[in-house]
Amino acid sequence: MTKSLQNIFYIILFSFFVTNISHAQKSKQELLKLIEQAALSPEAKGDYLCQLSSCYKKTDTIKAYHYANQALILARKENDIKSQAIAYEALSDVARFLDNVSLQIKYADSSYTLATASKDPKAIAYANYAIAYKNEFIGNKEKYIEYMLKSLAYFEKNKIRYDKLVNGYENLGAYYIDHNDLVFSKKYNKKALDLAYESKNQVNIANGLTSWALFLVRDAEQKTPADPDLLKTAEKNYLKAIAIFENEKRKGNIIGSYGRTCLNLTSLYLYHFFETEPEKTLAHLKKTEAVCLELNEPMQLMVMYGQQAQFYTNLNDIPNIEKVLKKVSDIIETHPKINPRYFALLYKNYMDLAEIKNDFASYKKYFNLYDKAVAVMMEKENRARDYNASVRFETEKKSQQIQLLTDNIESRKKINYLYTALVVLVFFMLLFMLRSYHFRQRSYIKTNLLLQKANEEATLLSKIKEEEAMIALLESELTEKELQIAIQEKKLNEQEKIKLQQELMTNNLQLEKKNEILKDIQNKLSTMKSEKSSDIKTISKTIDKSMEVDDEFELLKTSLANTNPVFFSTLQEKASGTLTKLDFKYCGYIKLGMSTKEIANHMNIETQSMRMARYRIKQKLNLDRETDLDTYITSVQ
Amino acid sequence: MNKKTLSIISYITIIGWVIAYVNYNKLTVKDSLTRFHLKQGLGIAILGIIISVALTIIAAVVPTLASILSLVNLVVLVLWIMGIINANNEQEIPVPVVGKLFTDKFDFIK
Repeated sequence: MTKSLQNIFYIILFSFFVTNISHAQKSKQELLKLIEQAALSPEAKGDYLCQLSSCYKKTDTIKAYHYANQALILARKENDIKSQAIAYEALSDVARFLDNVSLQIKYADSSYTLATASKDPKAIAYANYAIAYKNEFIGNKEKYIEYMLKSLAYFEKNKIRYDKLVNGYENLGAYYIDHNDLVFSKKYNKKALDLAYESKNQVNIANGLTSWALFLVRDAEQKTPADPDLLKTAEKNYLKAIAIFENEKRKGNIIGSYGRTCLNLTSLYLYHFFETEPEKTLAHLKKTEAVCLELNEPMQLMVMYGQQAQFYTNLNDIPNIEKVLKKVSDIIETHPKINPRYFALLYKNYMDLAEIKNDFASYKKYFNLYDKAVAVMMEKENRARDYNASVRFETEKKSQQIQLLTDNIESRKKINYLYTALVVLVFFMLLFMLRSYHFRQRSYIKTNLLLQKANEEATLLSKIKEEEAMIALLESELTEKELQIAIQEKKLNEQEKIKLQQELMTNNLQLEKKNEILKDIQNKLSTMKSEKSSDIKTISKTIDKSMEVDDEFELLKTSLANTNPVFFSTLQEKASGTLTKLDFKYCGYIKLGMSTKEIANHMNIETQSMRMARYRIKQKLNLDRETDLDTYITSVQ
Repeated sequence: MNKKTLSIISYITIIGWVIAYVNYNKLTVKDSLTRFHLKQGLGIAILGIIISVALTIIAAVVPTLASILSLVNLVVLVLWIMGIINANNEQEIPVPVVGKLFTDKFDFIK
């Protein structure tokens, strides 16, 4: 029987301290006053409402729900996502204390979704807190610890919500105690205590002390027998916490976790100091009963009666046990919502009691009842397990979906970036293309203009060239004409010259003739000399004079030299300067085309002597025998 | 408005074309530059309308292609800008690809 009672006690105790009570830093009255303030920002008001809700969640869940809901309505009115997330967290917390798991999970999920949407670290911290409890309920250990630590890290960094901090670390510590990991448990319980002292809130300190004491008891129980030093320290801590609660109670604050501390202290006495100090144990039992009755919490009352039953079992005081069990059954009946497990345990205890009393009839009765209760419990537990499994499955599915969605969003973001980059690229490419098109056209126009100019210039040049050629042609024609004219003039000149020469020759001839006649006259005169010699002498003298003066040859020569100056010089050259004046005279006659006889006649000499003269000239001119002097002289120009 | 301005305006959507056309009709001395660019501008505007109608139909049939096909509308814009550049340089050059189709059409523009 002792064992079974201990069973009740442990189960109740653990379920009790895991679902711990959290406390606000500010007292309820303070918070109520703060909310009443007119000049309060909606965000702060929502915050205070949430804190108020967490104050009431253990003692008055309806009020707690009401305040949390008010915060949510306010946040919705302000269209503030992060405040909504925080309000949902408060609602989830209230639902946790109402044991309404589906609602708790729903609220936690809402909180998380809104918080991630708002991307506000504070809201995310609150949401993580809610999600951590959800995971604890589902039994997802890693996620519970992960989210809890994440959330607490934020609260610790910003030094807000010490109640949540202390509570969270306490729960972590308790969680590690359940899993027999005392190193981590110590770490977190210690942290909870440190933070409680840091918060300077008496209730928080008391809660931290209680948790620390619980850890110490558990640590002491690691050895058999339990470490008395550690147990003593735990007792001291409990007493300190109780002193704080007493102090608060005197101020008018009745705090739910007072009962927890009392119960834990009593259990410490029951299990470790019962043999040494039974009176003290009894005193604490009485005190705990008083406190629990004041708080009127069915679970605490049950645990309290369980402890009493344990105490009386230790004393073997059967009537008292029966009395206590009766009270427990009363509580169970007045609170029909209580877990059927307690029914089963109660009936089991009755069965044990009947066994002790050897009362078979009642044993059978209780056995049947126990059977039924166990069936109900099993069914409920099965259902709960099924529900847990389904919730777990759903959460996993949801998280997968969320992952998928976030992946999708990310890929879409990437695609969007790609599109934007592409559009910008295309825009710049177009800009560049159009620019190049514009400039190419410009340069095309320019080159066209230049080409046109060059063409015009070229045509002009060709025209000029043509004109020049025309001019040159005309000029050449002109010169030709001039030449012809010159040639004609030359010819004319030559003809004139020949004419003149001939005239000269004829003149000469005439002169010669005249001279001959004059000589004839002289001769005749000389024959007539005897008669009139003096007169005739004068006449002949005049004639001689005239003949001497009339040096026809000189005239001839000069006339010939004038008309043909080269003639005599070439002849002289040929004869190398040996020609006499007479020779020149002969040559001149020959040139005029007169025969040897004619010349002899003309010169009044013998033909023979003329021939001799010709021969001499031929020799002087170094001519061959074959060459005719006449032809040679006429050929000389 | 001088001939260059009119030529440029005739490319600024169908509204600009109408303004340019009305102003051109008022002129007593018609010049070939504005006439040429009025023809080009009207041609491109009609092409744009045809393209957008076709794209709307295709997008209704195959919605996934809509975003990519909407880029084709850009072609019309590019042609317009090219035409504006031509007009600005006072050149009677048809726009690329489609410009030659419009040079001997739209004879009502005298």
